[in-house]
Amino acid sequence: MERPSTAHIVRGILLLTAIMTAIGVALGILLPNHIMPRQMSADSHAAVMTVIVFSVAAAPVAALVYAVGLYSLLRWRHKGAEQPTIDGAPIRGNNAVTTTWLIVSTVLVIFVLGWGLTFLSSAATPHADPLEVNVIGQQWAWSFQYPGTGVESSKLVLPVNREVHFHVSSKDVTHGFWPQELGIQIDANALQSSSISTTPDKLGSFSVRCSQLCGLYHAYMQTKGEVLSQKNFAAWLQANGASASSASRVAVVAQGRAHS
Amino acid sequence: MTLIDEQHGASATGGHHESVEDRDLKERIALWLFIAGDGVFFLLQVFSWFYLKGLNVHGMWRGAACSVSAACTLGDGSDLTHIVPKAASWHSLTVAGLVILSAACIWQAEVRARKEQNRGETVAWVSLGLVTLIAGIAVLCLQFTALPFKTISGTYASVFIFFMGSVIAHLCLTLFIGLAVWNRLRRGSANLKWQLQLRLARVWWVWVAFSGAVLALVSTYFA
Amino acid sequence: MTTTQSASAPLLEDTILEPKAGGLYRHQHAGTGLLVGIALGFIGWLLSTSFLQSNESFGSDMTTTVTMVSWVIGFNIGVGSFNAPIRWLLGHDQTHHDELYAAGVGQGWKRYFKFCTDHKVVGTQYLVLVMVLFGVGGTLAMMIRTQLLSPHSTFLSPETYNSIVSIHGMVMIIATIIMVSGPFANFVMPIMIGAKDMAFPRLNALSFWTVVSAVPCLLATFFLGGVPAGWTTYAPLSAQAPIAMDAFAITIITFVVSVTVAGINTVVTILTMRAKGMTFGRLPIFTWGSMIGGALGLYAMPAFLIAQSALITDRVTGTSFFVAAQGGTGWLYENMFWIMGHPEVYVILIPPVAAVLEITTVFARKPLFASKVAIGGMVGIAGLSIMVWAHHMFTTGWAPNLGGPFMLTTELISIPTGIIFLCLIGTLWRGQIWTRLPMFFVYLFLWNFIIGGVTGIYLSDLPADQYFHGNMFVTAHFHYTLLGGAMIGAAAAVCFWFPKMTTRMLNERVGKVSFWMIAIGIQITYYGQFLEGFEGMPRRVANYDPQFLHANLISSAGAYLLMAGWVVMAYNIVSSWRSGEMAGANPWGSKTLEWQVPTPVPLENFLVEPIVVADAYGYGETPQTSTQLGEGHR
Repeated sequence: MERPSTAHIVRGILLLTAIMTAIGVALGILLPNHIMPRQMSADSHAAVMTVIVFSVAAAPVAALVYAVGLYSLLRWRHKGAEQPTIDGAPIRGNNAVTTTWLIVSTVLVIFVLGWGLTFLSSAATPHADPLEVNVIGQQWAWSFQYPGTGVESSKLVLPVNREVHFHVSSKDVTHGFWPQELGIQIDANALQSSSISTTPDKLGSFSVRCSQLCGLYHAYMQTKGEVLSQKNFAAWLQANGASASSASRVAVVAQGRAHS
Repeated sequence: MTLIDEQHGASATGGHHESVEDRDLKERIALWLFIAGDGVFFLLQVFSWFYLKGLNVHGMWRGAACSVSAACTLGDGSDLTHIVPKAASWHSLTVAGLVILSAACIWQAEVRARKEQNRGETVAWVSLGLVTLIAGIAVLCLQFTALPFKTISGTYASVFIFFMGSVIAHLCLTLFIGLAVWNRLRRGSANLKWQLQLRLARVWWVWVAFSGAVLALVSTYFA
Repeated sequence: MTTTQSASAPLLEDTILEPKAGGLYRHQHAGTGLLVGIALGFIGWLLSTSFLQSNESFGSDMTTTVTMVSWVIGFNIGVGSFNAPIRWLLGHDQTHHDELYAAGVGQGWKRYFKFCTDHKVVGTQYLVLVMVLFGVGGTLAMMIRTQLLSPHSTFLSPETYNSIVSIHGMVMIIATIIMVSGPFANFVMPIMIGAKDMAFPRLNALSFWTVVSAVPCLLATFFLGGVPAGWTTYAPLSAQAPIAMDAFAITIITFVVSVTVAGINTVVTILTMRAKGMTFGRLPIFTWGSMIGGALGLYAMPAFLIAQSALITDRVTGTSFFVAAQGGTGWLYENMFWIMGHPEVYVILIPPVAAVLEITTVFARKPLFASKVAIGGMVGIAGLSIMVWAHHMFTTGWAPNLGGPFMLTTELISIPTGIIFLCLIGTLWRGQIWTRLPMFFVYLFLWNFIIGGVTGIYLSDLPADQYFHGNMFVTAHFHYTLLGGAMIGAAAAVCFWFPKMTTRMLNERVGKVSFWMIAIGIQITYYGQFLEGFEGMPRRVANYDPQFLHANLISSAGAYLLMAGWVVMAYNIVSSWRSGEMAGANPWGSKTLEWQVPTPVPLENFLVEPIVVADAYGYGETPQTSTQLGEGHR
């Protein structure tokens, strides 16, 4: 079998890699925004961005692996079903290739890790005067309490552009509190309270689903949520039983710090 | 009727018999691997103790947050209205002592066997090891009847009783091995193999004594 | 009592045994196992309902537990698992002829239904068991995908659906754990290292029959109310489950015994029974993978044992490990479970990966690229897998501060995993690619496992996991890795070692038809599930919002194609086994030792003790006919 020149081989690999990278990158950039839910907070934005960025980063790697496999199959395939009479090249290894591979994969891992840690640290910085909401899961419904107002609702209503702290717990088994478009998720455990925060930054409705199998009607354990303007949020609180004073106390951040 | 083929190790098909030393090497490695797995189980038991104690969910580790005036209701009709008393420590400590003693007897049996090759004396030490082991099992059973709490009395009680169950299971397995060794010692001829099997038994015995003692100490002093 | 063998002596398997050889084994087989198991189970049930259930502390959970344990012990008594230990206790060791009987001499096909210590028999028994389990698990999968054809389907009630999902998962987990280690680490590996059997042949048979005794417990759950708690059976949900949950727990506990015993056997065999000259440096990669996978199982299984034991005591005796109102917490269960659960997927994955690498060398006619690094990669994966478990718990609220460290360890696993890819494509590079059926599956493995691995990286990073946890994206990811990766690797292994194990060749044409159906079926099925996940559909749901219909239709359509492909493959295996073209000793021209012995393989594998002089990857370096063996040792 004639040995193709090195240039030939490199061109072939690069071509295959480039084509598959292009496909991967295109899908990675174009698809997520279309198939993932509407982003209504920095967290969901981060989720979508993570998918896009990781897809773009992974595409050339996957493409290269596929390219080498495919190229080998196309270029060095033995014709026929009978056992080959000659062997392949006796290559036991290549230190340069292995070292490069290890270095590149380490760099990618550091990048991916850095990405995640950056997100973690930005999520950890507390903001002043968050809205506190208690989330109670039980088989098979969610209820939301707004401390200080006496309001309890089966629909999750939040003010826009204000950080909300969820204190999530369960009355029975473990449930998963998952307000999808807000891009966060935390389990509701019995007799323990777990906390998570986010800041909704778009008006509109969102879905709250249960993400942890919790029994018979797990599939139905969902409800709607709504992000309202600060004023409408206060009005909603009042409409649901809060006194005017408690509604304004809880809903409206001191004027100087509000972003509405 | 062939009893124990001491000269040659067994192989499944009996073709080329392996040497006693080769057999022993395999059994030793296998034993250490098994102990490693058992070690994971043991560590997770200890972890469970301290984790549940640390979390003290709903104040129910030993019911510290409960009192007659502010009962912790369990919802199933059995209210925990008092602090769960600690189990009497002498049971656990006695078991720990007996099992350690038992392991020491087996160890001594092995040491004497290697030095003096006196089968009769070895059998005596193994017998003593068995007796102390059985005494340990008996004290554990006694402890079950004397516990000041039940399985439903919260997490301290739960993990405590789980520890007891695990130790009893290990002691029973050790008893089986000990009886086999004792019986085979009485019957077989004097050569290398029985000392190697005794060594294997000793390694296992020491592990059981160690892990059992640790569980006894943890459950006594960190109640 | 010694028997010396020379080349002119009669074969061991032709020995005429004494009339009473085997003792009790002569009368024991799967049927007696069944009888004694049922009898003891019934006695256990009777005793429990009479004396224990009436005790206010215990209830029907106790009875179910006692019955299941009695069944398992009874079955194993009946099939002969405990004969040897009892004889050991009594000092009545087995004679040479007893051992030959136990190895199946003189019993023909019947030995496949008995406690047989010949590793080749055990390997074959495992192969059949694995196929049966996949049949059951696959049927359950098709029920799931049929339910999900429409958003508000009433094909299955939510209760039934949840139970089917759970048992599908557990059956598949059992099947994938044993799918390579059972048939191939048993049948092939001892020959591959130049041994005549495994280190503990009786433990080998025990590991098989223990799994067999566990399977009815698992299937019994359907008749005891179902286990609607996922295969993960998280507490406290599993505490609510009906008595079927106790049967499930006994299944696990029994299975743990099997895996532990098998892992010990594999590791000790490889450490101590390599032929002369078979140094660690010359050990084939498949052997390394079997050893590493087996050892990892020894670490993981005890965690499963404690999780399920504590669950049983919670349910049967009222302890509160996992009951929050009485001081327990579901987090404890989740930790125990995932300390098992993550290493366990590598117990599933590493042996097939090693098989794929082994097969690639043969079908590319090339040495394994960077073999030492490949071994290091598998060791690295196994070692790191012990430290990543809480990435399954990022969203549980358990320990927010540990998110970072577990992200780190999880990301790090991609490095040794990447090494495996390097070695695979490096072996293909400039080979002589021989596109027979095993090689087809190698390429499919490559394609699938990249997708599975990359999507795992998304999940390992918190910002994405906060969205993806508990949704169908996770399901698609682990199906790509476990089915698309590990199971396809197992399929490659079946195609590769079929001639040696069954003396026949698999039909290539039918094989290729099944291959394309499976390959395309996988992509469609799990692309559909990735889409479901991206769109926000949770997992384990019997019904869903109509917005997910499109994605579900795609996935279910793919599943039907995939299932059909597996059925064709199963048909191919069965019909080729019965009447396929006869195979020679080495149809693939492989250099490893199992191909240097005759087909069918003699009882003790080698007629003359092998002496190894080289590793099995001398392609292109040495003359075509040379193998690992020195001259005169063919």
